Amino acid sequence: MGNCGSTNTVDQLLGHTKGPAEPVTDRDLARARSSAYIVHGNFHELAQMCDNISTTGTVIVEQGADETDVENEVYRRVHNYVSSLYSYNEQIRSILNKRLNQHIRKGQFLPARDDKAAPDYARRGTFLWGLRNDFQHGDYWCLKVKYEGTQDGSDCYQLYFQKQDFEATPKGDLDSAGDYLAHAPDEDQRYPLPYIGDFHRNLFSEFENAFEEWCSKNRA
Amino acid sequence: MALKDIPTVDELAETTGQSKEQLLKDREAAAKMSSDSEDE
Repeated sequence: MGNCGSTNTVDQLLGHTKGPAEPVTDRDLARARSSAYIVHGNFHELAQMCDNISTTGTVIVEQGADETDVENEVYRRVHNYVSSLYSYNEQIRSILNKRLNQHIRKGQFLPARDDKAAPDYARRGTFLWGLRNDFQHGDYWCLKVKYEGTQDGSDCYQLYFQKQDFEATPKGDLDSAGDYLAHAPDEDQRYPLPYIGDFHRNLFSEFENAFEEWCSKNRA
Repeated sequence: MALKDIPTVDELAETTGQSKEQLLKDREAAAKMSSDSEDE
């Protein structure tokens, strides 16, 4: 994966520049785009609660809000984002499998820990896939929302990732829960909101554009 | 109760970093998918 001489992330993911073997239909594109729109909407909800999601990721709340309510709302929004991202990736994988003469495994979106050639979209996305998988166990123990003080009449909170409580089930090309964490530094993963901010604004939007470009090589 | 603060495409473009042109396509597709499911 990765080294195929193309700047297109979908080409890099597939390892070739041949494009779709079968024509991509309007229905395929509608599925991918509507799914992307849900991811964008869920990202917007996350960004709206922060002063700046890409830098500090500080959650700004009306002064005196109940801490449990704040915690639940932050988890709900993170859950919605990573779940919709998972659904989007599965939609894309399903379209690729329909329009290519090769089987695209989950592992191409979940690269093994030593696969440094995989595109950043897949590598950085692996941590978010892991969060979504961990949430499936029915708890959010790997996350912690902490009150950090009051400024300018608003309460400030930060969302932290707690590596020691992360228990995701390995999927794709991963062998252990720790493999979900292998593609990004601990310091980045410690703060999930700026991590998501950077991922979405740079890698997700770029991947969506790359998929559009890939589809345009062979349209029905 | 009312559904409030529904983001516009302009607002989504500002927060997500995606182009307005692409978001308009996505929005249209989302509407199409929901109307198709009503027809089924």
